[in-house]
Amino acid sequence: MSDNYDSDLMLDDEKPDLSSAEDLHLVFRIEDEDYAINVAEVADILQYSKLRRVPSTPDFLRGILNVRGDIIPVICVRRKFLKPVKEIDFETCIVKVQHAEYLLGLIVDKVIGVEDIKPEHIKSPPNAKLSYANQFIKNIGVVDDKVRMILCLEKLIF
Amino acid sequence: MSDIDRQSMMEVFTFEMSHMLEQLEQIVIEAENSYTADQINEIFRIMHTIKGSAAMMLFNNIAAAGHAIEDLFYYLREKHPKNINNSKLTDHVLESMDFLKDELTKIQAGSDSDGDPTGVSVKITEFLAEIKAANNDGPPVKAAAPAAEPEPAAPVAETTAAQPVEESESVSFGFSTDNLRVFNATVTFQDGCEMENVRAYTLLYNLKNLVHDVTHEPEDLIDESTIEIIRKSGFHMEITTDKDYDDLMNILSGTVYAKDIVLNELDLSGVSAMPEAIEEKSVQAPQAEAVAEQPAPAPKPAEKDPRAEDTLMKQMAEKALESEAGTVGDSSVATKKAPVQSMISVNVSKLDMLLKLVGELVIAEAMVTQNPDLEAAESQGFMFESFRKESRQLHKIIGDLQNTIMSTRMLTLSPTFFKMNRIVRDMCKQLGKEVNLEILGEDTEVDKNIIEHISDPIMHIVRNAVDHGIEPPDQRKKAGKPERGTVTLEAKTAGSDVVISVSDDGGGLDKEKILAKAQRNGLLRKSPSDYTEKEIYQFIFMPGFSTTEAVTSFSGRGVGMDVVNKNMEIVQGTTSIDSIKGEGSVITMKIPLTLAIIKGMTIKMGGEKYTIPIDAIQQSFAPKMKDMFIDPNGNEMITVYGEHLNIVKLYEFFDTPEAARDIEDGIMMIVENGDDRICLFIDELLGEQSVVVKPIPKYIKKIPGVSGCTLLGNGDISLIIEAAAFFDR
Repeated sequence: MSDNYDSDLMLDDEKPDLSSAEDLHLVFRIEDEDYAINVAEVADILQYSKLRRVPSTPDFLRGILNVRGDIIPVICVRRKFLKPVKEIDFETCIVKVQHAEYLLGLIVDKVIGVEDIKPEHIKSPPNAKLSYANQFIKNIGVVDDKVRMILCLEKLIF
Repeated sequence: MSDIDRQSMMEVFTFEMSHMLEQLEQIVIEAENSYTADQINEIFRIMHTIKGSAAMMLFNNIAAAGHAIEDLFYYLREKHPKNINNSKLTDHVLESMDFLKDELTKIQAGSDSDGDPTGVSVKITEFLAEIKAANNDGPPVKAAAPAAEPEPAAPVAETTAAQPVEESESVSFGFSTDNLRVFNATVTFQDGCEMENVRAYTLLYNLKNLVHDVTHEPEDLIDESTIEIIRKSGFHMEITTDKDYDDLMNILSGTVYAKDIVLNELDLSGVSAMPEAIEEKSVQAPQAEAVAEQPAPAPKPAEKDPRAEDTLMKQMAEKALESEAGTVGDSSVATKKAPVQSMISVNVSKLDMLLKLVGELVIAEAMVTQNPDLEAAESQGFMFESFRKESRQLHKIIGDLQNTIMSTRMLTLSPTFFKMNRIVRDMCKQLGKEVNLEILGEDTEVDKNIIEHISDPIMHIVRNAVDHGIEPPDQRKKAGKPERGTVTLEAKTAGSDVVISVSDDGGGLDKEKILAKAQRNGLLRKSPSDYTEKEIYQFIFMPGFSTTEAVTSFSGRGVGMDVVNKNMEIVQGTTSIDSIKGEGSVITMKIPLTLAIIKGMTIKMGGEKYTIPIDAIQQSFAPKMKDMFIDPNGNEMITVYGEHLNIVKLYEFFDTPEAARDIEDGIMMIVENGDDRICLFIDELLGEQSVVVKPIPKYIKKIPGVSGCTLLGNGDISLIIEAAAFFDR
C-alpha cells in the first residue's frame, strides 16, 4: 500500500484484496497531517471547481456546488480546523460525503488514497484535550508506522 | 387473482369511499335544516353504493352502518314524512359518517376494519322509528315493518360474504384431480346494482378456493370499462371443478344482486377439458368484443379525480332524478357515465418525476440555446438564423409541456373548503353561536403539494374566526348586528399567486389586548408605540399566543395559529391581517400557485447571479444621483415618478464587497411585496428565464432573503431572492 502513497487518486485501480469494506478509509491531507474517513461515508471525490458563495453563512461554509443537478454545500476543512488558508491548486479536491440525510462536500488539500486500517491498528485519541481541533478526531489509526487521524464526520460538519 | 389485484381493488374502494363520504358530508351540511328531495335521493344513492361496495370488499360492519342510513333515507324518500327533526337527522348522519370515516382510516392504514356498527345503526333505527311515530305512519306493526323491510338486502350481503368463505374452509383442501368437470356459467347482475366488476371479482374470489380452475370473460376486472360489458352480456366463467351441478349452482346463487344465473355443464372428458374450454371461449369472445367496441374507446377507466367531483355530483343528481322518475335504465346510466370515464388516476410520484424531468428539460434547453460556443460564434459574425428560429419553436413546445404538466398537478380547493362547513357547524353547536360559512371561489386550482400545506392553516383560521371572532348571538344583537354571524372563506387567483382570505363580521382584534399580552410574554422588540397595526396583529401567529382567557375545545390554547405561519413559510406564502374593532377581521394568505418552476429575472451583483421572481418586480430603471436623498437616520431614498421609495442595496443586504458602488453604475428595481414597495439596487440585469426552484441544502440554515436556488443554463447556481425579506427589517 505504501507504494501508492504519493500517486494521485488511485481509487479506481486500487482494489485491496482480503480487506473487509469496514476497514477501508479514504485518506486525505490537510497541511502536513493525514486524516481518514471511513469509505462508507464517502460518496464521491470531485476536482475542485468554483463554488457559489452563499451570503450570511459561516466562513468555513465556502458555498454550494452543482453536482449533476444536486446542490450540495461545501465546507473547507482547513477553515474548520482553524488552519491558515491555502491557495487552491490542482491537488485540491472536494470529497463528497454523506452523513445521515446530509450530503456535503469537504475541501481538502489532497486526496492520498484508500487505505485499509485494521481495527487492531486503531487506538482512541489521548484523553487530555489540549486544542480546539482535537474534538474532531474520533480515533487514531496507524498504517505502516504513519499516523492517520480518523475524523468524526458529525463533529466536523456541525 | 393475486394479492396485488385485491390490493388495487382495495385502493379503488378506499378512494371511492373517501370521495363519497366527502360528497355526503357536503350534502348533509348543505341540507342541514331542510332536505330537498334531490338531496335525500342523493344521500340514499351514496349510502347505497357505500353499502354495496363495502359488502363486496367484505367489510360487513361498514355495510351494516351504511345499510342503516340507507334505510332511513329510503323511508324519507318514499314516504316524504312531514315531521322530522332535521337537525337531529343531520347529527345522526354525521355521527355515522364519523364511524365510516374511522373505519376507512383503519383500512387505509392497512389494518382491519373492526369497528362495531351496532351503536350507530341502533341509533339510526331508533331515530327512524321516532320519525315514523311522529308521522303516525300507520299502526306500530307498520312502524316496525320498514325497519325490517330493507333487511333482506343486508342479510344477503352478509351471508354471501361470509358463506363461501366458510365453505372454502371446509372444502378447499383436497381436490381430486380426476373427476373434473367443466361448467359454463353466466351471471347477470340486477339492473342498477353498480360496480358490477367488483361484484364479479368477489364472486371469483369466493369461487377460487372451491374450484379447480376458473377462466372468465371479461378478463380484466379492474378496468372499469368492463362494467358495461358485464351489464350487457353478463359475466362469463369457465369453471373446472370436481363439484356437481347443484353444488356449483348453490355457490353461484349466493352472489349478491345476481339477477340471473345460467349454468351449463360442458360435455367432455376430464383430459381434454382445457383445449375445449379455450375453444368455447373463442366462441364467446367476439360477442364480448362487439360489446366492448360499442362504448367509445375512452382512455382507460374512470378514477374519480377530485376535479371530476363537480361533474360527478351533477351526474349523481341527474341519476337521482331519473330514478325518481322511475326511468333508471342501464343504457342511460351508461351513457351518462361516459365523460367520467375519460379520467384516470395516476400515482403522484409519477407526476413528480415528470415535473422533475420537465425541470431538467427546461435547463437543458437553456444550456443548448444559450450555449457559450454558439454565442462565441455569433459574436464572430456567424449567424444561426435557422437554429434560432427552430429553437424558438422548441421553447414554445417546452413551455406548453411545462404548463400542461403543471396543470395536471392542480387541484381545486373545494374539498378543502367544504371540509370547513363541518367544522363551523360542529363549533356552532357546541359554542351556541350562529355562524354562516360563505364559500367563494372554491374552484380555484392550486398545486397539489400546496394544498396539503394550506388545509391546516385554513382550518385554524376558520376555527379562530368562529371561536374568537364571532360574538355570541346576544352580544351581536346588542351591537346591532344580525344574530347570525358570517365567516367568508374566499379564494381567488392574482397573477401567479392564489389569495385565500377568511373574513368574519365579528368583534375584530383588540390591539391593546394583543400588545399587552405580547409585552407580558416578552415578545416586544421595540417600544409598544412603535408597532404598526399590522405588526401587532402578527403577534397572534406566535406560538403559544392566545388572547382568550378561556380555553375551549376548539381554540384558545395558542396552538394552531402558529401552524399558520409555519406552513405559510413552507409554501412561501405570506399572511396579513386586517381588522376593525367591532366590525370584524380579515386574514389573507397569499401563496404562490406552484413552487416548482417560477419565472424569474436573473440579475448580477458582485459577480454572482441571483434570480428575482418576476412577479415581485414592478419595473427597473437606471437611477440618477439627483433623485436620491438621505434622511437623518442614514436611510437612502429615491424619488420615482413623484413617489419616494426606500433603497435597499443588494450588496449591503448580502454583504458582498465587490459590487457596483456608484449609484449611477447600477440598476434600480422596484420590488413589491403586497402593498409595500422598495427600490432594490443591483449591478446588472441579465434576462428573464423560467427556472426550476431547488431548495437550499438543509445543512445551511435559512438565509434571510434567499428562498432557494436554481441552475442556470450554463450550470451556474443562482440564488433565488425572497423579496419579502427586504420588507421585514
